[in-house]
Amino acid sequence: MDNLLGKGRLAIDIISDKDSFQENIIDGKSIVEKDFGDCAVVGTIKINGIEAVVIGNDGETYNPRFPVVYAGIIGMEEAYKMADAVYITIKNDASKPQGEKRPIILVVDTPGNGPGKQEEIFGMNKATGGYQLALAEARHKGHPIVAIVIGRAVSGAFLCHGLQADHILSLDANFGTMIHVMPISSIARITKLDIEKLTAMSSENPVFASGAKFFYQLGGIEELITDIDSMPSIIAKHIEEIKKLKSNGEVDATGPYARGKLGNERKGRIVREKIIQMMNDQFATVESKYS
Amino acid sequence: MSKELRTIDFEFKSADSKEFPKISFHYGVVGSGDMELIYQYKDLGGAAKITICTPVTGFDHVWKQVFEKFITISKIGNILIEINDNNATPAVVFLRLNQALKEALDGVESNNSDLVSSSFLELSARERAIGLVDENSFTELVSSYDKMSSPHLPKMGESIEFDDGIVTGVGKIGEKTVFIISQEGRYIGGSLGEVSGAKFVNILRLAREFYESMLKNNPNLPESKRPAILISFETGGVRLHEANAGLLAHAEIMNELQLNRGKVPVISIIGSKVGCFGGMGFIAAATDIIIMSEYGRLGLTGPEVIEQEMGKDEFDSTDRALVYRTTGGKHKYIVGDSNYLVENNAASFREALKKVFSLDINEISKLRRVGSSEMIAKQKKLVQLSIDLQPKDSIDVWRFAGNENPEKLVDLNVKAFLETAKQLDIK
Repeated sequence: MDNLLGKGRLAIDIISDKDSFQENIIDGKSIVEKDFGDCAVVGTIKINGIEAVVIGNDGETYNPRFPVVYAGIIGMEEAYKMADAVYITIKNDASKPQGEKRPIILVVDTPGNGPGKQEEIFGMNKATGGYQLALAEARHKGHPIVAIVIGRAVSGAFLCHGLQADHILSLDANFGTMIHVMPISSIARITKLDIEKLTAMSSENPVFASGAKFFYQLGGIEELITDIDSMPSIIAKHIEEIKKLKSNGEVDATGPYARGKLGNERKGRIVREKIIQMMNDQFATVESKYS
Repeated sequence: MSKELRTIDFEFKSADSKEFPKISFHYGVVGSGDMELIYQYKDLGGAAKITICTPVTGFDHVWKQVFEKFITISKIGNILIEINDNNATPAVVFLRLNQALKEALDGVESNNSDLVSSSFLELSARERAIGLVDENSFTELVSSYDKMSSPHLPKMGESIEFDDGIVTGVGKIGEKTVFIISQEGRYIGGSLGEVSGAKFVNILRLAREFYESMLKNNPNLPESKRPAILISFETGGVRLHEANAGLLAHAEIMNELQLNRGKVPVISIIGSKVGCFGGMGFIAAATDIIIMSEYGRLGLTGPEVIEQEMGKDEFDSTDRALVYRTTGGKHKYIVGDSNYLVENNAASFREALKKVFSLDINEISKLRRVGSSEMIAKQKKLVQLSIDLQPKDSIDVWRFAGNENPEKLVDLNVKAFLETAKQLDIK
């Protein structure tokens, strides 16, 4: 198999135990009332025997009610469907202790958020923002969240679906994965920099270039995966790691803030830490004025 | 265009030089065709030392002439001058040097009463930060004087700014401590990179830690003393030159917003030229309260991208009126995406803030748009309305909301608009 681009459903099958995927079902009940959010897939799977909620993109269909939503784009319906899956999981696991909260697996293959006039009139920004808050809440409440990039993880859509996870995994570039804000050709056009120069610069500075390995250097990805068959076992391994890291209720040991620290360790983002330290030191000297 | 940034140094001495006062003074914004500078006292035996960081090559002799003239006329000495230039013409450079010197020597501090009454749309990020809080209460944290500019831009030949296009700090409104983030749209569109991202994220953390320590010292902390966070947005989101770092910073911001919920309210202030778009559009949507002027614009996908996607017949991005009707403060107020619509000045934003601060944290939380399954259920009704109504224009939604002559709302001033306009009511 060359790649899983556009094949979110196939990827869900690959990571799930045989015949374990129940679409739209969480705890035996359907969470979707009608045709809704066709480009998003939600449901329950088992992964190496562990029950998990899965949220993915379907790149092979379109949303008949919103013409700009197709091929894995996250539209308003999709984002709210995804958020519903998260909130229902939080609610149903509310009484479970920290270590027993259900994992949520994000299978990421999305080229963008719905770029339409209807979307702007009614507020696409709320849909994608709302889904991110749901994921952040689930993560803070102890649900292990693992994102796995199997295809496209583009800009705001990756922020929406992926970057709020505890840990982020990605198939490496051999599988055609695309992680970026924009391809280098577009960055060259907008910044008026030579594409050759930009490409050469990207080898020493991962801060703008397109590709999973650059995100890895910046701490934006915890682990790169080099073979498709190992996906389930690597996801299961990360679920266990995340559980350990969060066992005392720690919210900064995983997730976006921890990836900031990882970016420093991997020497991809080293100024960030200096800024934080400087601001904290400066505030300490004036804090009494404001208390 | 793709040369690296370079620095040029000069030193001049006027025969009968006047000593610069023992201060540091920052002036200007690194907008296109503009520059910023820092004047700083230094004992140089009466000389003036100048360092320019610029993308321009081949004009060193012109820089030299301009400075020679400036020093000869002003006779200023014992001064270090540091400049970040973005293709300013010699005339602009000379003008800025003189304006800044006059303000530095006059000891002009930004005057709040001017700031709060002038057009909010025209204010710089720093002026907005100062104008939104009580007079003389603002302390900037990681300021221009710390010179924490982007480490990535010089190699790309893109001008740097000492504050990286974002002003962060703390101030007071009455007895309340407010933490402030203010974005500068004239500097690379107010975009977020590694440095500006870290400043943004850390203000959100600092505010929460400050609140938690206050609460520890006083478990019965009165609501009036609960700190708040103000974000004055002016941005298109991620800075392409450091896109990956900008993206990761957006994720950190969203994480902090969720952690601040129920602790420190976060209030969006949107009324600046660039508006609030891209990833910052959903950051704003995820805050507790949104206050907009009619010139404020909020959205996710910019008009040009929609036109590219759907065609000019569907969305003409050059139609300014259409753009404002779709993303502007009046529309966002009618659909409930903006909690308050205010006049275009800092005083009006401050009045709205005082209304917010009269509420307790639970009441504030109820004014959110997203952040719970109940709120999402309500938003899904809006999505259904989008399907049922298929509006060709925001005006169609205004009419549906019960506004009989929606076209007339466009030209009403804010006061008349607020008296007339009906907001969309979705149960």
